[in-house]
Amino acid sequence: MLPRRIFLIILCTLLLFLGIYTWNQRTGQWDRLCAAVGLEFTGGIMRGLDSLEDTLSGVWDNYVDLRDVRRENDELKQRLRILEQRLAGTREDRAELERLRRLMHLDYPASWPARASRVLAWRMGPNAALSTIMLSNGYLSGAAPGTPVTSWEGVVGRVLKAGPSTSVALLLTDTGSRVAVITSEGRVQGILSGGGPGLPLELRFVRQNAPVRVGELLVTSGVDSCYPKGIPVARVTAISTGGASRSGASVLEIQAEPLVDFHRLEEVFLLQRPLDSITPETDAVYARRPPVLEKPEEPEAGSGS
Amino acid sequence: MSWINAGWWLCYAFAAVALQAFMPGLDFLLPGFILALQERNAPQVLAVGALFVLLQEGMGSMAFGGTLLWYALAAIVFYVGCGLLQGTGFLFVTLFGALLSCAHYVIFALLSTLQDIPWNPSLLLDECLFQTLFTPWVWWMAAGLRRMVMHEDRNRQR
Repeated sequence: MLPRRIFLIILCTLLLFLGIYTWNQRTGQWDRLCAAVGLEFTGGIMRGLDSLEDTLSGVWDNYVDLRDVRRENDELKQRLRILEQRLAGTREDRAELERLRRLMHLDYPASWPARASRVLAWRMGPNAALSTIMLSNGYLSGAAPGTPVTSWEGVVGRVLKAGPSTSVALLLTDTGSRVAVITSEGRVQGILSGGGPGLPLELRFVRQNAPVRVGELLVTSGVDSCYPKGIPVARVTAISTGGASRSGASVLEIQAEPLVDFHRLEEVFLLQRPLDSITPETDAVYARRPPVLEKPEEPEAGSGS
Repeated sequence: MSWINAGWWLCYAFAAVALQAFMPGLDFLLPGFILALQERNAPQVLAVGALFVLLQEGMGSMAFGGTLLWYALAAIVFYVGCGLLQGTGFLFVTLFGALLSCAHYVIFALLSTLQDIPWNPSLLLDECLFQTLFTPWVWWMAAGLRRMVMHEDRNRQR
């Protein structure tokens, strides 16, 4: 083959690719087609493998490996008794809270119904640039893009893309993830952004003198209208001073660790937005440009006093 | 394309997707695409290529295009390479796999930057190195299995 001909073929391929890529960026048609065909096919395969694994591990766990069952049963009964005692205590508190809300005519946001879903796989293939998980629900079963994903421990992330019965969710730890949070004790608001796999989360836009302490729980504030209010997200692990926002205001540099152990996730909940809740204007799951925290400029020597 | 041939490609896709779930970042469909290219049957190359591109783009998390460009370049490089070397040997596939891994590094870095996705160069390099190592061996196993299945299919047709 002549070098000129090869060059022309490569050039035509690149031009064709750029055309398809640009058209897809504007319309999203190819992404939808791939989610409907490729993601569904992959989801079908992973569902088959998952049920096979369930059957095999079920046979092992339920019929063979029963050594510590009695001891485990005793421990669980003990734990159940403690939890029942705690529940009895909180039942009174809850009744009191509802009475007070009624007295103050305080409207409380409607609760978001949850649907259970199985985790089928983690990031797969050469195009898996983001930290994601594959779920066994699609847009026909309550997993439309933007749907909040939680577990027993707390927030997991949000649905990034969905096929009819399979979806992919962006994890809280991904650098493109943003959640509006509030500290549980000091009620300080901020934006929690992912730091990348294995790295701590960062709480941004918290003013220098805000009352935040290490070990404090961060819960969703609900101001972004993407998550319901009050779901646990992360725990503060480190606080340092010296950061500055783009506008030059001094802010705290706060690190946090997610409450969810992502490596052990098996089932999650998909929270369904109530009909009367506010739908956010911009509902992008992946935040493309992370805000940059810069160190404040050192004051020039001799400029003080 | 006979039913056995179509079934074989579906089984291959099934096995490759299952393997990809255990080894994130690697492409186990690529050795199958090389196998399809080596058979020089244009409708089969198009059908297998389209299926594999849809699968990879569907399970991935980037905007559409990366795998399409990668596989298109693989097809071009294969036909150019066949003019220089015999395109069916283990050595050819090893060199071809290494070249495609380099192309993957460049394409992925380019598209990640274009889509404002932060990427980890050392992780991507590791994935490309593993891809280089795995491609010839997966191709070798797939080619052996395919020879067996298609040989029996041809015998039955006679």
